[in-house]
Amino acid sequence: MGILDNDTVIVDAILTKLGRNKLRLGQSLGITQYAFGDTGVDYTLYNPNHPSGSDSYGSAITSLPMLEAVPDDDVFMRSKLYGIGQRGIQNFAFVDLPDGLTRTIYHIPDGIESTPIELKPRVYSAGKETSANNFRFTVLDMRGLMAKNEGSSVTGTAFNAADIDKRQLVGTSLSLNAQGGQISRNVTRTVNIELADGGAAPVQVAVTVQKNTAVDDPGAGSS
Amino acid sequence: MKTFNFNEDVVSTNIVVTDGFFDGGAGTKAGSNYTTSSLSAAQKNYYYNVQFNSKDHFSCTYGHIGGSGSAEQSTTVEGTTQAVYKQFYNFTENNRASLKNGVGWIINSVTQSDAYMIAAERLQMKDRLNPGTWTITLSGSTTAGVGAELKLTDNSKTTDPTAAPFGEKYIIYSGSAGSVQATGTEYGHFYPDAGLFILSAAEVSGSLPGSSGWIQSGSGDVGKHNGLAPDTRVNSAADNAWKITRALEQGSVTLRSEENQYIYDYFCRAKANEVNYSTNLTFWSGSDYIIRHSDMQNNPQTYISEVGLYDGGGDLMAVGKLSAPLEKNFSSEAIIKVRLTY
Repeated sequence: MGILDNDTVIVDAILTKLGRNKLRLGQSLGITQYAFGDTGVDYTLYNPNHPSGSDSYGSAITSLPMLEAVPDDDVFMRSKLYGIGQRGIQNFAFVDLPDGLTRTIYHIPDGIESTPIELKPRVYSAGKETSANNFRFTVLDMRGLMAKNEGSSVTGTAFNAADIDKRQLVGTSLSLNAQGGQISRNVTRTVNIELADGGAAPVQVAVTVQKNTAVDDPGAGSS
Repeated sequence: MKTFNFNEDVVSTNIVVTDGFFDGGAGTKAGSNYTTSSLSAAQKNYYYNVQFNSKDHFSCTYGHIGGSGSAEQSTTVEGTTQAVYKQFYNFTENNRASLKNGVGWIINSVTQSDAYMIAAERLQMKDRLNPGTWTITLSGSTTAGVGAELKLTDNSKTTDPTAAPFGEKYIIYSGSAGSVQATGTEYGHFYPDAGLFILSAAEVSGSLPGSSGWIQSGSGDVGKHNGLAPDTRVNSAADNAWKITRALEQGSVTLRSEENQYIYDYFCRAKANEVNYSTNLTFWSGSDYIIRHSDMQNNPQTYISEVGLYDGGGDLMAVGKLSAPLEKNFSSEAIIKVRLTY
């Protein structure tokens, strides 16, 4: 008869920028949920051929010094642990973007407007596309951009605003565009796309946004 | 994500954390470590800043109810010492009308016409100063030039506070570290929440008057036998704030800061059949995302390296990192206590 481990570990947590901002606004943190993560763990270091046997398969992982927590809420908890009772899972679902992971919002010549891009992710599991998925789109910096999807729209702060403007929208797709006459230089922004309820490998899209502050700025197709 | 059961999983505690007042957490510093900061002549008409490690720790000033000791004082010009006295009195006392009747701080049952004030730097004192543990040693001399010390502390260990407009007020007596030596003479008032020591000029100068040459020697003359007998001339050479500054620089201070901390312990439980798979891409392999290691296919192993605390909207409010990844599989359970302090 084996004895199950029942470890108790004490961890000091730090507030993220989002948490600090809530306190700054006089709101309570409202913590109601938790999740375990393994961001930074490299499972290729798991060694089933370790000479010391199965207890040591993961020793290269557990021996690694860990980085301290930092307040930026995008640095950690990027890969979460999941599963309630399922056993024998062989494949992991993943999010894919048929139009690729690098996109460009082009400036329209002879004006200060830009052409929107459409992000329409799909989820595949065991080689088959699954249907009717809701995604969480996280634009890490919405300054100078605007976005919309089914029923909701978001306009970011001014392009030259001091603070990064992170936004999230949930839906089946996302339309992203530059605000007219806002983008004073070419920039690249990141959009994280994950299944709203989890359970699939997320993707990141790099979106280049062309300068659009002057009518003679480079137009569609140029960079 | 899992939802907390607040009856079982969350424990909150409020604790008071004390620390040494001085830069780096030191609790005692001899005055020989102090320097005075560079201030303009106009600022020195009011106060001096005492520094340690090039950081402000105390501000020292002098106030007189009638303006004595100022460069100017007349029916048309309000002296700097009068302004200081009134400002600190109105700040620390409830009966603000009494000044109109010539009544100021009552120490030893008598209105004190003048007082020395020591204000602690807010950054160092945090929420407030810790009563009942401090000692201020003022060093000077008698009128005959014989060196003498006056050790001061408060009566908070034995006596309940009276009320100041913003919190507690204690009496300052001779003694050290909260142990009062004698209650016959009150030396002043201590306001821990404001970080303020108000010292009766009459009482402290009774113990440390300084030699007669010192009283009207002005600022910066450290060759004479210093003390706290104030120079009450209306004269630009009168510089009484310097006297309390000098007495501190030759003495020492033992002082602690206080801070209220709120600790929330979140017990995050990973049961045997939970969190045994990972969204970490290195957990999977190939374009079909098959579990990377074949021996994990029926017995997956994950490694918990962090715990995230989320609000109801799914936003990450706090994150805790483990010092080493914790192995998790269908044969193990883990309880991670995540402590959030602020």
